[in-house]
Amino acid sequence: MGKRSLIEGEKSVLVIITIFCIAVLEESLRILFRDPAITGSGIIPIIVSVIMLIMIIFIWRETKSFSPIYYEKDGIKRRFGRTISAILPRQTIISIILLILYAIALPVLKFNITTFLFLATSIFVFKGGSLIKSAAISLGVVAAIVVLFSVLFKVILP
Amino acid sequence: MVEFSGMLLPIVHPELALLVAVGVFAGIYVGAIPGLSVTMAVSLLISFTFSWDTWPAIALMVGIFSGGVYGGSRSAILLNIPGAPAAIATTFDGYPLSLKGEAGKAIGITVVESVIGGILGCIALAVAAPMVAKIALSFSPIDYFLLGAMGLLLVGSLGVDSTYKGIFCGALGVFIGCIGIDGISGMQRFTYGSNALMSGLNYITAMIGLFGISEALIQLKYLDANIVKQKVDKIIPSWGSVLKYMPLTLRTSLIGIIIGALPGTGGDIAALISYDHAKRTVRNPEVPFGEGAVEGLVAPESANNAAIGGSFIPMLTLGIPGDAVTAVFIGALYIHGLKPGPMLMIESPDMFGLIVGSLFISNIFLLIFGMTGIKIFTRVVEVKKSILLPIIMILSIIGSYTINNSMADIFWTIGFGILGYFLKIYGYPIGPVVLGIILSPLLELNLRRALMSAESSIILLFRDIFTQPISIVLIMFIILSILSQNKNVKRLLNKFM
Amino acid sequence: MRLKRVISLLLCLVMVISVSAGCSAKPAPTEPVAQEPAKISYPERNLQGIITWGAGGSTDNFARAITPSVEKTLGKSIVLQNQPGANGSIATKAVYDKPADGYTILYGAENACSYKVMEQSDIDYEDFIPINLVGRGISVVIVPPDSPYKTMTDLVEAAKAKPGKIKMASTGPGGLTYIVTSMVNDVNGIEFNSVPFDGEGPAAVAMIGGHADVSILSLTSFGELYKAGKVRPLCAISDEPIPGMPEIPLVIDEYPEYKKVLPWGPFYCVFVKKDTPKEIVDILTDAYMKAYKEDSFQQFLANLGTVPMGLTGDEAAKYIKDFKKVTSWLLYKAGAAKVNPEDIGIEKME
Repeated sequence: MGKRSLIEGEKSVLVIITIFCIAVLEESLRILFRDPAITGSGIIPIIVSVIMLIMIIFIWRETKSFSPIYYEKDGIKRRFGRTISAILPRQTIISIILLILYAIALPVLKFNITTFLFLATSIFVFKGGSLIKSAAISLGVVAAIVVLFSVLFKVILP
Repeated sequence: MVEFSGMLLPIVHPELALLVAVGVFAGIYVGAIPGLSVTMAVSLLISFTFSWDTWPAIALMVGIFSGGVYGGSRSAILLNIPGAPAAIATTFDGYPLSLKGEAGKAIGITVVESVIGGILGCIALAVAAPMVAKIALSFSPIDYFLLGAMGLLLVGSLGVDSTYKGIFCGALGVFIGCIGIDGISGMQRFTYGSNALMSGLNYITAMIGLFGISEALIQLKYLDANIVKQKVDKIIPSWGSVLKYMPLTLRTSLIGIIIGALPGTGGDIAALISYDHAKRTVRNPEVPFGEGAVEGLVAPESANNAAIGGSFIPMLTLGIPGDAVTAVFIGALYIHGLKPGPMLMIESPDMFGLIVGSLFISNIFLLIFGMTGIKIFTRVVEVKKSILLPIIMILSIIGSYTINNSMADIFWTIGFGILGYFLKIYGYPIGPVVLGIILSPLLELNLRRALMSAESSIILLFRDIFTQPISIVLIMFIILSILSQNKNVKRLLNKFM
Repeated sequence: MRLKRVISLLLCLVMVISVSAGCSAKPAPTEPVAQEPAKISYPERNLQGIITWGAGGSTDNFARAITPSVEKTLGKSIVLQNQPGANGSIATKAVYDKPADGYTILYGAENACSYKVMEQSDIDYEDFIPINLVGRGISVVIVPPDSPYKTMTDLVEAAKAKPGKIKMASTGPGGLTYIVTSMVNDVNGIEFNSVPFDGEGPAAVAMIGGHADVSILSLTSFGELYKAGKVRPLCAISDEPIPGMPEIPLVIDEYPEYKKVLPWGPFYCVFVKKDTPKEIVDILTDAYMKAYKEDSFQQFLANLGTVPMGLTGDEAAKYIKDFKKVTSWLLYKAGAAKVNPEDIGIEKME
């Protein structure tokens, strides 16, 4: 646990986590009120939310000792931009978007088509090959999956 | 004493041995794909083998069980994605080894250890089933809780960046496990009226997301990185090294057998607790734990395969399943007209012998098949990341869908994947989160049961703990474990070793 | 080297594509549309069966015993899964949340009948269509073989002397054990310390292991254990001797007051969500009835002392409704219900 420099966005994330822990604690208290017995449903939630909060306090203290990476004159825009580019590089954002689109499209377009599109797009965007090659690989993989899972293993595909 | 004739069945009827072999082979590959679980495979086999005779069906299923539990370690080592919950602990030291290019060595060790553990579990089943069953039965709710607590202690030591983050993640995992309908009172907790939340978060979905998808997302940053070529020449570990780790293997296999024999807990918990045990008892590993320590592979792999033999014990002596897969086996026995229960060993002694014999042979085949095909697997990791990663994402999503055939699980997996990604970036270890989710019901339900047994009085609870032998042993372990973290105690212990 | 890789990759692709074409890759599953009767193609893919209790219990046993025959008839697999918890309401809700297309089947016991009065769920079996109510179980009071209680009277007297101290391994609020315990508490005026487990299997194991003094379970779940001498029955909560096990004493022998609440017993039933198309319901009903009639299944029921019933359709629905009525009032009278049955529209008993 030595000193190091802050990772971009670390403090902001810590704030978010703290707020989350407080919300959990509040809800746990509410559960405890609804079932106020030592054998009730509220015991473990309370214990864990308290533990989480205590840990967060310790983590804050640790974080304070890390060397900062921004200067006084860095405005919000610069900090935000730098955070995004460090934490969410281009490929990651694209991948996340593709994943979400995939999940949304799945019930509509059904497995074969959606998976094919996802794979082909991903491979192409990540520079795994030309458009044709990506499509070909994707086709092969989807076919393999369908054969393997549906026919051999008798698994229901989405 | 045991019916030996049954055990010779696979030898007398070579086609049974062949089926075991097929099962092991298929099991390894099924287990290696993240999301395809052994439980699912065995369930599907029930209908597949419905019209078969009993013996071939059981032989095949035993084979898949053995192979599948081992198989999870393949993707754990190569991709940092456990193929099954039982292989989570294998990622801790397996993946670092493959990063160093020593995946071959890691796979070799895991195969050998799985086989040893499997054989030990088999022997325990053959020779000591009634005795182990008795021990398993005497575990009271508080003992289950203490066992879970032991597993959770692992949490503190898994914090890569800081112990606090490790503990936080463990607590977070337990919290996630509390979401949904409470198993005892039926009350809805943290659900905010949402249907999706009400059924709770399946831990396999969380595991696939937190390990699989998040790892894939992280790897995206290194699309252009050099692919580490894996050394696949020195795979088979030397006799010397196997013997060196034998004491540890014996201990962790024993842990695996007992935890497997406990109804309701299986290989995954056994692997985690054994890993923790190894960390605490091996003082000076050549390579530190978490960076590729061989002991970190020996412990979980021997434990989870030993747990196979262990989980057959309650199934065959009482008709109660030792884990999810044996529950499916019970169903299979019903279908073939048998009656699982204490009478099974008396009315159908062949069945017992068959299972023991098949289990034994499955380990032999595991040794053979486990050592082959390694080159193909390591080639998989050498595929261009830009192609491999999307495929892994799809497989993970399919895997989580097939658990419950629910679209909601797919969203959960992706959500957990994104969460895992952020956790990893900021140094929050995800192992403890999954550990917390897995252990949450074990801990909570049993603590409350123990309190109810003690008439809601903490004093009586403590009395219960200190008057039952198993509880005493467990709580001593826990106290010792906590104390040994303390610097002063460490100094004292180092003086003695 | 490069060329070789490309060629082998292409060969793989060609192989895979031709294989999948040959197997006529499955059409993406769609919901079966209710066409003209007898033209429907169901099932087109594997089904999912959700069991409301944990592995090893009676509900689990009956599900796994009847399903394979059904799979044979339907030609598809039914992937079974246990989703225990909250008196079976987790599993019930899970099936309810799926579409009413006949691809998700619920294997449940009688517990759902008490959901409304216990406020455990806002849905119950009236939101489902019963496919086959296979049988009726008998609940028995059991103790470990070395227990000091030799008869029901022993137990009741001991419980009166130490209210709330004798540990009863139960299956959770609203479960069979809970309801019968309420019955016993009401009739005999006693109180146990109920410790909930995940199902009848785990409860039996806990009792055998010495972590509880007594339990009340359905014969189906512990039948084998009894034959092996691992548990000892004190008495059966029934007004008729158990078929095949006449040696088990009846509760009415020692406490005739029970006659007014008997016959009563847990039941096991297969459901699909209501509004499932009639053609599918008919196909399933036929398949399950066929499986029910098989000798092996009837033998299974007999082995475990379950009275075979095989009710379907309206008959089953009526049985369930009556059972719900009796149970709700039973619970309410014993002070265990949270809601007055009258308030939620359950008619009063005679």
